Amino acid sequence: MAENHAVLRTEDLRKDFRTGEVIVHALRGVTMTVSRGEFLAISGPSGSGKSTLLGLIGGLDTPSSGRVFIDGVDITHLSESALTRIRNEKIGFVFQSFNLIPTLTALENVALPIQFARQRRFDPRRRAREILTLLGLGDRVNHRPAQLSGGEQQRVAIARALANNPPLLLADEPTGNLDTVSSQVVLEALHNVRESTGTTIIVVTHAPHIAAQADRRIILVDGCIAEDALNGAVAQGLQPTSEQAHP
Amino acid sequence: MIERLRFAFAYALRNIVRDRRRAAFTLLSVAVGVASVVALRALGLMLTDALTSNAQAFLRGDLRVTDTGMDGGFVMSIFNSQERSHPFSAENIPAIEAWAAERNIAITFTLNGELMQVAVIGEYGRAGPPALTMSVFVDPAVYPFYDTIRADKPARALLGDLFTTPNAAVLSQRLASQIGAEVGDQVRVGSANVYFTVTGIVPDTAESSLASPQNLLFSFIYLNRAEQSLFGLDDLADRAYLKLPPEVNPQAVEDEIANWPRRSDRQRYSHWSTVSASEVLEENVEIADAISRFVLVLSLVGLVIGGVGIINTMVVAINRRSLEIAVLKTLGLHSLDISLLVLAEAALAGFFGSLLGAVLGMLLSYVARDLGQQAFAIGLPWRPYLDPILIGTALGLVVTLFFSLLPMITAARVRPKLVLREDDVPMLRAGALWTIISFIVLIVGFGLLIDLIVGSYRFARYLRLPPPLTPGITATLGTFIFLAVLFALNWVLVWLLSKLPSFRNANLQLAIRGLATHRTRTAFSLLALIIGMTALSGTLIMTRSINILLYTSISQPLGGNVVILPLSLVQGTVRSRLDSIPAVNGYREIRFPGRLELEAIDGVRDYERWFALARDDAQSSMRRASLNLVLGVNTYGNPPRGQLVAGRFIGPEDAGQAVITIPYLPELEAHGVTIGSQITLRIGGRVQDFEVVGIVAPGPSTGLIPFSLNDSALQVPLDMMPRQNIPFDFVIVDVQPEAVREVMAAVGAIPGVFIFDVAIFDSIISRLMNQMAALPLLVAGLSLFAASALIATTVALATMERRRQIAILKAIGVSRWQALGQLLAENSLVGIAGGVISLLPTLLILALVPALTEGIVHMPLPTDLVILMLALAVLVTIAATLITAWPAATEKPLNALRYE
Repeated sequence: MAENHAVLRTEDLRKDFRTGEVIVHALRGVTMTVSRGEFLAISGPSGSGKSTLLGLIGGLDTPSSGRVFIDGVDITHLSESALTRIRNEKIGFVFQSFNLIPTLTALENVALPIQFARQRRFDPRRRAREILTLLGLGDRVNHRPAQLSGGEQQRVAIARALANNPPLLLADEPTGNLDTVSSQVVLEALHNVRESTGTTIIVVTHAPHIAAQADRRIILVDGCIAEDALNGAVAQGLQPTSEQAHP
Repeated sequence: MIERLRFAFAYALRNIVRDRRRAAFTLLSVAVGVASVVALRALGLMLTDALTSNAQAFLRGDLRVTDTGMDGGFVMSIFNSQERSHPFSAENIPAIEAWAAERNIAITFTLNGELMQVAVIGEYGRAGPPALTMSVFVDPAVYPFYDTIRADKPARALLGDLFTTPNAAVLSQRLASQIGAEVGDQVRVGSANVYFTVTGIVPDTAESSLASPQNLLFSFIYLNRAEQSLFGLDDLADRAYLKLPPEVNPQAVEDEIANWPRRSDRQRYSHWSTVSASEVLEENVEIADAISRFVLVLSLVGLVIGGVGIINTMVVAINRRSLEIAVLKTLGLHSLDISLLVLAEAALAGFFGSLLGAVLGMLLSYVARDLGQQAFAIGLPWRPYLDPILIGTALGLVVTLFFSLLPMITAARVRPKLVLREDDVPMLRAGALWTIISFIVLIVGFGLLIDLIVGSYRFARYLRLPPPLTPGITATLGTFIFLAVLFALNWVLVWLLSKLPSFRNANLQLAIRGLATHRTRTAFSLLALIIGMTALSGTLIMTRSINILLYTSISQPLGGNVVILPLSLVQGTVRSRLDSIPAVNGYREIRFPGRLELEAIDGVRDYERWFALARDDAQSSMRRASLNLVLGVNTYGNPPRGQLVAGRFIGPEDAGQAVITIPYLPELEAHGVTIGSQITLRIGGRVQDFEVVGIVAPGPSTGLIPFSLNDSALQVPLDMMPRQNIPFDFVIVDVQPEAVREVMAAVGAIPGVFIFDVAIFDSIISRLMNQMAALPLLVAGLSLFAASALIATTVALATMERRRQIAILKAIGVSRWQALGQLLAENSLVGIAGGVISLLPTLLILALVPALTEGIVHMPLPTDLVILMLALAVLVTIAATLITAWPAATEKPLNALRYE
């Protein structure tokens, strides 16, 4: 995949945490490229640095060293305000525990990122209704999170992440709190989204069956990429672009 | 922007509904502060209304004329009333009335300054215990010209309608309660030889003490001026009220009044003093304005305490919602957007809290009115004022926004990466810089508010404060620094409390750990409790202490509990009546000298130099001054006496002898003054030597007065002291307390006798102290109310946060009472600490008074009140804990665990 098609690129990404006198190296130099429209699964054991990597990619945290490019823009040295804009326009987030605003209806939750966009590209309510319908929630738009099942809540969260049509969707264990049936529904929803909108999706997951459904799979171990591989037939035309890190 | 605002408010409103309990605490915090503003502001307006709405009614005429130096003075009418040279009499009243008639001016005279003794006449003509009261002789047909005086009994009857029969008397409520009089009762009034019938009882506020200051001390009785002759006060008056026709210029009339005819004996020493309605209005507007501003500033105390509650609750709310805020940030909301959300929530809480506070405040203004009436001794009209509601709501809103600044910044600074650490969300902090900035904004904002309320621009130039400091900002800054220091001390105290041993008691251990967990919040609660309790206990204890001090200062030096002033004609009757009552321990007849000087001691004329070395010593000066008090004394029975150091007391057998007893003074002893020494007195124009026969040591501390009649004065036999200006001898009787009423009734029944119980001083002092303490008490009460709300909030928040802990404890077999007991133990510790600390400033002041007054004044410590205050502090915390912690303690553990 050509470099200029990359929606995400990281260069020697490192992140250290200090816990008392002990320094924890959460990421030890991760370099990778993710192409537009790709469905990437990042997996690995607990403490391997999956969520840390997701946070750095999403501009939620700053790396100790290294760089992150989103759509060719280096976000590692951006101001808080610029980062906020990137998060609003370029990235969508989906979390394990949904993190919907409990006081807002499904429609209002989805409309939220559009309402707070600096340059509004969509009509908030119409766009929210469209995406919710796309995700099979057309009849649940006026329900509050507490009135929805787990799978439905997570689909609302996906809809919210897609509200501003971001090129990159980051999902942290999106099925971690769901039963098997709901998990499958959510996964299908993610695939549908990718196909209908061409959004790049990066999923952090423990579950091998989810990783197996992605185009490509990266396994992190102790903050390093231990494996970066394409998944069979769906990987036609794709090739792994990460480099093994050197601790 | 409008859409964002709309979203912010909708989001805030839903959060308030979602988080009902916590929102209720925020609302309560705001409401309590606003309630105190509304109540005190309403009080200010009531006062303004009472003082300024109708100046003519307040003055009871367009002009009031008195004589300089006469207004407010009073005499005891049973004795020579001619002693007081009334400005109006038969000599000039007719001429003044003719002058008024010529100009179509209505005029009425009153006689206000006569102190009289009133008693109810019971069965068989026996008089009940008498009380002293001020007479107000009026012409009921016209008095007052503008105001309307209506009776409590018979309800709403007009004053004029109560004087339709001869010998009618209308009593003030206080007098009626003192003597136990009801409408229809017969009363004996002063020296009149007929009984009067009580035809009505009017409120105490019918005669404002602002217009007649003597009413601060005494109750009053309305009598008909036409019946003054019954008291030997024919045609005398001390005030004239004028009602002018509309076309007449008051100033021109005032100029003419200067030439009113005077009584021949008062030509040289006085002149007419006039007060017009406009002058009264001007003066009252100033008084009302100053008091209104003052009470409004006082009410800000409640708002500050409420503000602490707001910060407390909102910071907790934001901490609970930190993950949600982080999610919003990941969705692209800027810090400003988040601030807007918090601000909207604060604004809504401020608005609804203020509305609630306004309603509470209007109810509280009822209580405030009673205390205000007590403080200013003036009838205050209550009505639902709009102004306090608007001001209270505006202030509530503004102060809420000021105090939500810190939570707002804390929320705005939430890092979005928190969403990745869902299980390990740290305590949110605004950061040192932002905390300082938010406090600066708070101080400046609050300071400017105070400037605005007080109008401090008027005196700012005298203070010469460097810009940008204003008086309000400086005062707020000072208060905040003081509070910060106090807070830091509280924090340390809470830390120390959390180190207390638990004695292996699980409940105590959990209670102490609980304290340790939220030291900052507990320190805030403690601070609020201390502010409220210090104000309340300080006011109550100081009032009580001064009360006891003044009472003992008066009653102890007297050496008895009943004072009798008999005309000399009946002195023998009084003696025999006293001798016949077994409960009388003894009594003294005392004659005060008119002109008397101590000429020499043992021939030494400049004996004062014996005290000279210690001129700066206040005690020594007092000792020297005590030599100036010389009394003529006749002692009967065994009244309290000082301690005899040498010689003997003077007794009836010393009549006609030139003997004297002197107080024991070290300076006199040092110069060899002893039994047999000569004291030379100049009495009137005559010089006489007296031989010292006794030396008496001063008794225990007598309060403010460093000498007493029974031991510190130089005393000579009564008949050796010529009667001069005062036409009677005082009789001071020591009666067993339970027999005071009997003696009062028995001796009071003798015509020409004026008798009062020393307890009257107690009631006068108590009333004065109550009046002075009423307003501080109101503010203190409101502060404590606000503090209670804050404690309730803190306990509730702590309980909510520990819901899971309580559930786990219950799951492992801890009973609801034990769970509750743990919270009660924790907060009782706070209550005890708060109670003790809040007492310290007052106790310190009491302890410092002797040092500050060179040992002259010793403030008594009302121990019962101290204990009561301590108990109150603990009770407040226990009540706040019980109310808020009970639901959590009684909840099923499974619910709490599932919820969490």
